[in-house]
Amino acid sequence: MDSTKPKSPGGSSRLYLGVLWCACVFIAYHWFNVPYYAEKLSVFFRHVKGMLD
Amino acid sequence: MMTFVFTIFMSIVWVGIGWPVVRFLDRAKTLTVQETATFAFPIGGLILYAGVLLIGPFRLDGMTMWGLAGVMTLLAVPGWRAMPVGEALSTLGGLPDSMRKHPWTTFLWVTILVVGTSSLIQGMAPPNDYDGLMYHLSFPRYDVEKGLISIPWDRGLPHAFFPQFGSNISRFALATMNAGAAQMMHGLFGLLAAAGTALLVRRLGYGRDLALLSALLYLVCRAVIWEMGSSETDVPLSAFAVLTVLAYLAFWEEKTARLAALFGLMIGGGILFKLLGFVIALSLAPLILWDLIGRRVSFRILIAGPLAALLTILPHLISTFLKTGNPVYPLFVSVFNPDAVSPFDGVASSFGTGRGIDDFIMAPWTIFTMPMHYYDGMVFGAPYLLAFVPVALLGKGTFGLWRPVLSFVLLYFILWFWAFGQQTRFLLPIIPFLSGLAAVGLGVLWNESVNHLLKRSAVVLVIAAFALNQALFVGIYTLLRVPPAVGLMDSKTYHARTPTMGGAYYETCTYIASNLGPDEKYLSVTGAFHSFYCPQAPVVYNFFPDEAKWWLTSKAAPEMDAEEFIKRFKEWNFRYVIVNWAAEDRRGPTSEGGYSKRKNLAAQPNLIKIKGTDSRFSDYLDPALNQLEPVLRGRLTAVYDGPEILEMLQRQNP
Repeated sequence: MDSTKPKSPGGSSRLYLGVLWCACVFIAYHWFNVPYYAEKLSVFFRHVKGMLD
Repeated sequence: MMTFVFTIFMSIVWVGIGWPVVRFLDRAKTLTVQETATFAFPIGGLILYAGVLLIGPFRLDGMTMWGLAGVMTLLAVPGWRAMPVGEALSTLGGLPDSMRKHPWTTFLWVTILVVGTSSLIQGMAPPNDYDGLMYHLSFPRYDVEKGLISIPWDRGLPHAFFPQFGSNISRFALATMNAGAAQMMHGLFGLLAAAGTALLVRRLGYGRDLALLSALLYLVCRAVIWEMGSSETDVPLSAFAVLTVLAYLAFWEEKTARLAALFGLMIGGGILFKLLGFVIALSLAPLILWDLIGRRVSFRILIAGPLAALLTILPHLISTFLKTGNPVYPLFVSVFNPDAVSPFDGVASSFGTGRGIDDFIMAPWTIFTMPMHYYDGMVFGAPYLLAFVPVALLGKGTFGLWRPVLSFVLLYFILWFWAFGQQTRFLLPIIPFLSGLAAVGLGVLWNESVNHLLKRSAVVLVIAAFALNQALFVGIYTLLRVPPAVGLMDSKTYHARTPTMGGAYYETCTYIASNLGPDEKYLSVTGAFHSFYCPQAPVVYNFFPDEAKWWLTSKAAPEMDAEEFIKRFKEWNFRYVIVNWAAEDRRGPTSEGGYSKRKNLAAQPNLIKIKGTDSRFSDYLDPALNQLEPVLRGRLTAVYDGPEILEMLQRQNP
């Protein structure tokens, strides 16, 4: 993958900070949206079942 | 299949028409071939807009619109001849070898093609989005049924005066093909925005893979997938936003009045799709002022941009002014139309956490992690933009490189936050830029973890989590809409299994469409929503023609007593009457206090039974309906026999 710049000084701290931030965002998002996912997944499976019937 | 072929053919026609125009504006060849083709597409679209605008008020039918298609095809020929088609074909010849050498590039291309094609094809599914059913498609259908462009006053919707780029595309598509073509032609703008995103990233100096990744991150956004299969206008607006900035960056390279006119055309095109395009124009102001104050470009050259934008939208402004007395109606209604109904009142207080500085600072967090709590739903899907954009800004030099783009994004966001209703789908114009930055963020993580197994594993885990999460949204839309789009599921089954917000009224409307005689009329009392699937022209919708314009000159709807209603009912000889008997709510029963007060975070549809018709005719119409059985009861609406109602009305109101 061609990308921005080669490894640079301070890269490790940027990486750790970046990964930590991404993990926080992901966990917080799912924590807040459990009801949404539960509802949508149940609708989805009903839909697929209907298609197969 | 014909719909798909027609849509692709029209996109080639648009590029053919626009090609010589872009070449004319880019004499110094500042733009790459890819950029030229990308700018050519919307310029061809503007020609279609202008064609329908000129012809439609006099005659709008298959003959005139196929004639327009023929003329446009002829106009495209010089452009096709000038395009480097041979060069492109020779590139295709070297494709297998290139794919072997660049597997990562190949993977990105294949994923983009799969996601992009799927989203485009989904446009052939029966229309099922609220705005499309309410006005994006139903107003053009009204015009096609009437045989010319006119205002459906009785709908009571100021949306009839929104800019007409999208509506003219739909008018053209409905007159020549069908609603699927209308939706797909809107979907093409999603691909255009993705191309614009990639080209912007390239112009900023990044490599091919990062540019492709940016395009992919734009295409997988949930709102982009949803809107690409509909006639909504936010995705086209996002295409014009990214093309405006791309044109401005090109203008920096070669400061000519012609290239200034190009960014002006893009601003104008955006405004013609949605009034929010004015915000795109305002968001470019810091860059323009920076250039003018620093004397980097002369006013004489730069003014060509705003002038081109103004000329593009002038016919719309004049037409709207002549009909409403306000060139930008329904904006600034309190100034231009103080006696009229103020549309969209209350929208501003419905969304968001508040309008304080702390709310502003926290807004990116709340928008992406708590969309169901405070905003208009799960608009973006997984918060991959929130995750990866800040990482990009950790990268050295990113901030400086992206500063012009960031100034545009920040000002747009400020205006969105404080000047508008905070519907998050209105943020789509900045999603191309955030997608580019997110791709750079991913690049930073990838580069910094090279040659280190543990670090690379952590990065792969993070990317995989977001990718799988977002793939759920991509996959669900594909599974829901592709089967009806390709004919594996009929419309009735699709609508029964995929209920839309507020309902499509498919069953009842198609019953009326199938059974209404050529000269027969029907009465619709279905609140503020008249579905696209109902016949549009032979209806009296809430208000009779002589009173239908009330909302432009008065704040209160006219009243009608039983005697007058029965007299008019007899005169119109209504064959059917369609009414609501229930409504669907997905966000809780009250709008007081906004969405934050609603606890239905799952957006589970709740059926709410309506007491009577809740209309201006309720006092005498409801007692009559209570004594009758409908000829058809749908999920939310019911159709009654007109003569039966008249007889009952006369009996109950002697």
